[in-house]
Amino acid sequence: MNHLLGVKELSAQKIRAILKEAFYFKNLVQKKDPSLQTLLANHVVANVFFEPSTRTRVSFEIAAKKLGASVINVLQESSSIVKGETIFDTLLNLEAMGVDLFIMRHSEAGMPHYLSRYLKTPIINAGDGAHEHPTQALLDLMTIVEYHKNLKGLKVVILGDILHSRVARSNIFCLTKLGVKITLCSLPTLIPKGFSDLDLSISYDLKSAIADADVIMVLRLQKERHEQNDIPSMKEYVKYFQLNETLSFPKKALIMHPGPVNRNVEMSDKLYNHSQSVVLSQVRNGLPMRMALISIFLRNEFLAR
Amino acid sequence: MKTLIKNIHILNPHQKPFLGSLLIENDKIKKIFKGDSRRSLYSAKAGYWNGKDFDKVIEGKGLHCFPGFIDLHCHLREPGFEDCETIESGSRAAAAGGFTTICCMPNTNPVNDHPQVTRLLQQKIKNSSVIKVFPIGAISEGLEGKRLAQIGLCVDEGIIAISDDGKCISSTSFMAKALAYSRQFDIPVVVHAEDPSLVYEYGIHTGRRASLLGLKGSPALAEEVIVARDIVLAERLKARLHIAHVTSWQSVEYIKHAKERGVKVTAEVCPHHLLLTEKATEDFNTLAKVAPPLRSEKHRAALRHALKTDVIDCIATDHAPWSEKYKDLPFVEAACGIAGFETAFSLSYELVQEGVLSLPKLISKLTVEPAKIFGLPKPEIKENSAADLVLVNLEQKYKIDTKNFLSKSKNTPFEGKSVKGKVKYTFCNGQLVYSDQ
Repeated sequence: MNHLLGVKELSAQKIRAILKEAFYFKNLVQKKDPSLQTLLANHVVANVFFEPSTRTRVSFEIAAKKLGASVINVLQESSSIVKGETIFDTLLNLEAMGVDLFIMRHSEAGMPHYLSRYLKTPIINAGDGAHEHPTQALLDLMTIVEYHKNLKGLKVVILGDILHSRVARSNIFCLTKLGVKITLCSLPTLIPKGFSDLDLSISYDLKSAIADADVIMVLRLQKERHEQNDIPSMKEYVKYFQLNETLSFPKKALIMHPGPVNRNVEMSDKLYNHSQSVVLSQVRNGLPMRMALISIFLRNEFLAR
Repeated sequence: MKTLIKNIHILNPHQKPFLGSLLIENDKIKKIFKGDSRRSLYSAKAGYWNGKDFDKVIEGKGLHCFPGFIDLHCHLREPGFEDCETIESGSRAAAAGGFTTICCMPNTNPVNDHPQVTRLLQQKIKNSSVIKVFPIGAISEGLEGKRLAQIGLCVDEGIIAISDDGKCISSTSFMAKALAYSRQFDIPVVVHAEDPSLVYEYGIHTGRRASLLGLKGSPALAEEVIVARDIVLAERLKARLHIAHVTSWQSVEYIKHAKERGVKVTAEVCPHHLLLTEKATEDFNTLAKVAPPLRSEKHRAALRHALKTDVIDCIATDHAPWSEKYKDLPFVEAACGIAGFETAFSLSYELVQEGVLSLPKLISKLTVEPAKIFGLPKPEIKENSAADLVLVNLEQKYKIDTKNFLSKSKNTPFEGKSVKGKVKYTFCNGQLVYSDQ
């Protein structure tokens, strides 16, 4: 692997190997293994974020620091769009200064793909537009397998603003490769054109979609969607698509959310704190998953046997 | 200046090809000798036999001779974007593609919306073009779709049609005024149909591929609503409407029904839309980023059928050269367009090989049909007509290699593709303007 641009490029075998590596790191962290702190000493990881993000960036930062790497943050989260040419120059300079790994986020789909053609330093995509967010999908997978050992035939419902969601796309790529049955549930204006041709189901009815779900993945609904006429109002969206305690779903179903959650919009507060909610497990698993990925790129090897 | 071209298969559109030789004197076809050159030239005049009387003799064995191709739609980028193309480089690239007449769009800098710009262009064309170039004027000032350009004064300077190509006129009332006004000069109004209010990102089709890349793209619907609207307007206002680069099967249906009702509507299609689908945009390939975009197989099949059944009148390149500065960028930031002159014939010839079009039909789509739309003289290989000719080796296979492009820009998604049918010589006004050596 030269870069991690998306899950689309990963084989099922590669995904399983990454997963194994992440559990290996999770185990070491739990054991407080002292070797972790020096594993990546003398390496420099750069977080280059051109879009506001706290959780993902901090998660990467802690992951790198736990492995002894130095972390620098290059944050240009201004409202003005930073164009590809300028970023290219910035990254070339950082590369010349000895950065060993870029963690990159940008609002434009395809930005890390463009840069990867010219940089020798590996890039981990931490989200590009509505395209991919591979580390989120991988940590979601890690969370799912902690509860459901057998992925084949598992029914995962992805609920909400699929059109604008990179998390949804990466999860679709990831889970499809592992034999999971996916149902996209949303209103017609928030389902991307042409997704009906994919190997998945589409439902416009929340009740029936979640009735036999093993996993319900709720996506964040941004407030701008109302201004863009994708939905008439939040109130109306909440009435038809909010996941809440009045709905019935299987007792074993996991409730997931990539965060940050809009409380009482896409999901009710009660469900967020529900016994079946694994939202904080997702956040916890983000750490070993990102440690594993940083280690894979900087050491160029898998440690798990 | 006398040039003799021997033993070529001469093909006029709508006629049967025949073996013969051509004598070009100055800018005209002086004489056509039918049959094998040994016999026909000998019987015509003893001196013709040994070639003494000629400045140049081309042995054309195995070559087909067609009237020079005509392109209604190209971008020569001069003035304003000379790093991508100039009138000279563009005209040489066109000649290499077998074109002897091309019509250039007004989206230069400055825009060709003023008679002084047209005059400047005409001077540059006269000084540096190797083939015939007709400028197309803007419909609106600065292509802004708000105020009419000085269309009449530009017509006086020689514009052949009007268009805001690259931009779509959103205002229905403005389009109605432009169509009504165009009637005074009886010139075609060329539309780039892509309703901006329906477009999220130009250059990629709203469909599965774009959706998987996290892009919303430009839907076929954006073209269809404008095609339908402009047909309604042209019908009511009795104007001449030419739909540039049709890409959607539904647009084809609207055009077909309009033609059946007698609306003065014509349409063109580009080789890349006949050959490629949205699949080419995979992995954010900016070389396949073009507006209107490459669409799905259903659309592509409909375009081929429409060309065959004459719902679409002609083939146009939409030659849109961009240097790396504009193309080697992240997908969303890269410019839309494909450099098309030098691949147009070989790509279109695939339709003949696949049995979609007959060879004479393909040639008419590249010659007489575009000429009719813009009111150009009928391209024909006959005695005393202008010697605008292209000689092609239909059997020659080669790989498209942008290193050989005469265009300043190399932006094509067809690099490395194996094709058949190579342009060998192009004559414009009797001058040899391209030879494949």
